[in-house]
Amino acid sequence: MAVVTAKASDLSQIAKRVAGYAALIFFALLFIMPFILTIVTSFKTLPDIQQNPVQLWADPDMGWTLDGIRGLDTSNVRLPRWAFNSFVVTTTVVIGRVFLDSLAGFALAKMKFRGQQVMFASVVMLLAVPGVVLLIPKFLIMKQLGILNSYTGLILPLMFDAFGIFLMKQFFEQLPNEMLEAAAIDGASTWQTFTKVMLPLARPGLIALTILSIQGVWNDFMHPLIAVPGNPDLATLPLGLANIRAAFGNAQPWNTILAGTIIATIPIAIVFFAFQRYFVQGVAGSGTKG
Amino acid sequence: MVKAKTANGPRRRGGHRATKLAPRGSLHSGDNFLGLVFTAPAMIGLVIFVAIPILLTLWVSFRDWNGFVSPFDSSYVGLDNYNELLFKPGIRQTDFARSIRNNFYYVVGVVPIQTVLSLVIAVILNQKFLKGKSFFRTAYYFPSITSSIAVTLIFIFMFQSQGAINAVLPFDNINWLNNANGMIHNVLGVFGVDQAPGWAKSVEFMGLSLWEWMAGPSVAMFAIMMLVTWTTTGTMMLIFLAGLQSISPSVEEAATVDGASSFQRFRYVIVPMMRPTIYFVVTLGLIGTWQVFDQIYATNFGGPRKTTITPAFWIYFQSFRNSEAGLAAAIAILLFVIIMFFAFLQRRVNTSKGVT
Amino acid sequence: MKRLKWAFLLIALALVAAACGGSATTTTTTSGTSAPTEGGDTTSSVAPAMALDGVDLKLWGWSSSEAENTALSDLVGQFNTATGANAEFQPQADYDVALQSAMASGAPPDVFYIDSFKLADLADAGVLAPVPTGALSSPDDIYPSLREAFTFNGTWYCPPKDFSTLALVYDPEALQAAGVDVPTTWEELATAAAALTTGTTAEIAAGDAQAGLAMGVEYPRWGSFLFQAGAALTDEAVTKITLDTPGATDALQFIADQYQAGYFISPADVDAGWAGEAFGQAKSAMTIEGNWIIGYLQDTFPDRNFAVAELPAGPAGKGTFAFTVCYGVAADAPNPDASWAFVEYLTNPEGSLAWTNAFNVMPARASVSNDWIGSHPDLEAFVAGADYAKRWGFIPGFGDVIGVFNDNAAGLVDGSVTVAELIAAVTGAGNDVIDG
Repeated sequence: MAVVTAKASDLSQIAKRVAGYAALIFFALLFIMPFILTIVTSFKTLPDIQQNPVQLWADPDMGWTLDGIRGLDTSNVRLPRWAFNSFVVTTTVVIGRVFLDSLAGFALAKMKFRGQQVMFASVVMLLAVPGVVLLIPKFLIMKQLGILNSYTGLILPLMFDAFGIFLMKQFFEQLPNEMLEAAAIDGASTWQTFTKVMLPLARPGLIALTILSIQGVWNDFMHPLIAVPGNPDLATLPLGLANIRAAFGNAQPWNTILAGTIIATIPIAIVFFAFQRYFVQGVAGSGTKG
Repeated sequence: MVKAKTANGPRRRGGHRATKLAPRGSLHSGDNFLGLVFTAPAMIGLVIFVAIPILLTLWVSFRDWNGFVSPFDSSYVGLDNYNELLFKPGIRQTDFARSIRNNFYYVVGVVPIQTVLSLVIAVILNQKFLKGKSFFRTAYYFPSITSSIAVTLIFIFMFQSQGAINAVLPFDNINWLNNANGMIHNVLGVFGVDQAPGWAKSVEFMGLSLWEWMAGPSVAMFAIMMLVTWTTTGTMMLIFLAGLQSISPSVEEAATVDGASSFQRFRYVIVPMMRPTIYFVVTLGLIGTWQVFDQIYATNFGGPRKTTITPAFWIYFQSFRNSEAGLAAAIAILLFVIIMFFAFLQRRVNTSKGVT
Repeated sequence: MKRLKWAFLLIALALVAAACGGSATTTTTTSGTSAPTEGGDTTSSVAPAMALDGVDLKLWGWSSSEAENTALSDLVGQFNTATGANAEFQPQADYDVALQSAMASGAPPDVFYIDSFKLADLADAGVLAPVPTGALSSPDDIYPSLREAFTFNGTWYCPPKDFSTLALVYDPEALQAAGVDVPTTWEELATAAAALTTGTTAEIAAGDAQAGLAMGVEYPRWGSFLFQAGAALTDEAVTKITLDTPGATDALQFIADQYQAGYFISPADVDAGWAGEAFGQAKSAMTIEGNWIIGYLQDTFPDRNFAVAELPAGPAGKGTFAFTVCYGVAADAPNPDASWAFVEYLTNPEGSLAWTNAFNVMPARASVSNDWIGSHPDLEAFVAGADYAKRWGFIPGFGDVIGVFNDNAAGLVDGSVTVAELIAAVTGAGNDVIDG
């Protein structure tokens, strides 16, 4: 009797496990297949794509081709230029954000000064403002500052980011005050305390801010869309890709278009796989803290 | 972002001088000056690029500004822009109504599905007896980190009428991205209701007949909804996973010992304990889905037949394509009100349930 | 501490610089807006040999095809060789947005396309420079109706680049195989389209069958049928919508019937970007398009056979649209003299003939039209259309009305909207814009 029940529960355990894996694999395929199809398609010939849109290998008669990638560097499809711009913008903005946000976050968390509460309350309020509401006035301000269609316009407005300040404040707040007191007794200046003591301790926070910013800025579409439409030399990858179908006019070379999406994805995928842990923490952190 | 008051920490009431609040963790007495120095660069930027723009949106929404000359040369038109959007019968009112309708169906479709799907995946992924979790977690999360424009292009490719989706589906080819028919209309059509009944055609609100209001998302919008669900589910799943980790294993074990089935455990143990996280995910979803833009822009630019225009897209279209920045600013303010309403609603629900 | 100081200094400098830049832009914009009211007072006549050496000039436009880009770039190259300037043609993917942004930033392109449809909006906003007297050679040679298309409130803003009309482009072999003649009336068009249609929309999309006629579901094509029925969307001066007539009803019903029967198809329904592509891919045996389709077909579908005929006549006779685009210069152009010299080169009789010969559109100047016809005997139908074509141009803000028309046209095609509903919707929207 006892043996039988044990067996039954074993069986149900196995069934459960099989069902569990089946579900996981099903979802994994669902989430990953489009990318695999995209990679394969970008190396197929156009007639092949037309005839066999789902096939994960090139038709032997038509073979593989690099035409797709070659099509990414022409007079109106300028992927190298877009990638360069994306790289410049992402690097500058992320450095700027890390610098500005850690300074402000530290001050808000660990210093006491007049206006501090008001300041933090406004940061939290600004956080809640949906970005799309600011589309027109951001354009207006850039226009009045004379930075439309320039790198400054592409970069400067993105540097100021309420979420980053909020995130860094939360991180600095978790650090023990004893460290500050010890530093003060040693006669360290505020700046020394900040750079030598606090910043190293806040490393996980800085990394989280860095990678979330890299992801956000690299993929950002709306800001470049309003900041630099009047200067094709300044288009970033998302902006260039969004108009790529129009750039091709009336014929749609899908191998080229999809090759473009792959190239836009590779850098962010590298960052993702290298710092996966922090991505997960960053997102999860935003959830549990809410 | 939702926890302003508590995050601010306990404070004494009244405006005491800084030095008096002899603080846990204060540095030096010179903090007053240095604090401003440290925060000033970030704050000045926020004021210029976030705070002032909010007020400017409001200001522009009362003006007839075309977007390219100086706004100071534009004329003040009072509430005209709002009136045209909300009350005055005409194309602007109808289009605004369309954008609200389209986005409403989009929200109603995307938010529940992405919430349920991500919760289910997170719960499965959280089972102790399964291995290779980090691989699966990565696979599910990967679409979330890629550019919205890039994934939209991938979906356009797959949803063409000669594309992968139609090749896999066992129906006649569907022209997904150019089909303006409403999904609810389509379902009604299956039951033989393919023309508007008289009453549904005669009742009109904001320039759209009841029949048009109840069209449901168009087939094209439906394709975009699938795309967005596919990209955001991973993020929501991560948030749920973090939440699930905070449920003590003993609670689940106790339920198992009581002989509860998997579904019962899910329904009566996990869901109630995850309630705060669910609220958070739903709010995040509501706020995000009311701002959908990138995918709309890249898929069909609001078409076919304006069935994928959304308020966010319409702001862009009216201000940058149609040279009606004043009108667009009014749409922005109305959208702001909608989003704030949902954010506020979530807070009320949370507070009343004793959750923060 | 030192590094921190530097950082602050830099930020402060950046903000100051930004603020300064701002005030400068504001002044130029303001002065720019007041300039056009004067207009036409440039006394210096522009000699092409003036100091253009090394001057950078940006020409913005959109492109319908690689063929067009190449043809125009060649002409620009010749201008550079002749003058030593560095002019470049830059086609923009999202043209209207790009132009608006460039104007807002106070750095407009030196020369840019303006669709006759958009002229009223731009001129009304005061961002265009009027044509300076003496800047262009023999302006009276330009067809008055085309000059008219770029005149707003009595001021002439820019010379037309060329013009195009709509005609019937067909595949002679397909017509022969189906045993039909080139249609010259609506009845013949309907019969021919039916005879030429060989399958369902799905089969056509898959490339396994062909439809009679591919035509965009939009006013710029459908409008020609209105003219053929003696109807029009508005009166001549655009003071009221005139769509509620029996003629218009007949025309719309005729079109709707053809689409619903599957004899006409919308290019979007068969996976084609526009009707020219659908025709090129042999998804239709006929299409209604303008001159620009010629270069595109020759370039993209060199094996496709085609011929051109005038649009079939309706109950009230013949009718078609004339489309035209001009080369505009901004009110706050950085280098107005060089810009106008460039425009002069592109639009004077020689430039005009060189361009239109290269791209198969028609010259806007009477003096060279015979030359052009001589070298394009096969495109005579487009020229013939010019006699009775209606101009494509409206009043500011009319884009909304066309949008309503197109929406309802799509509804008419799929059966969710009736002709009467379309007429009511367009009339309502149109009167809103006209009165408002």
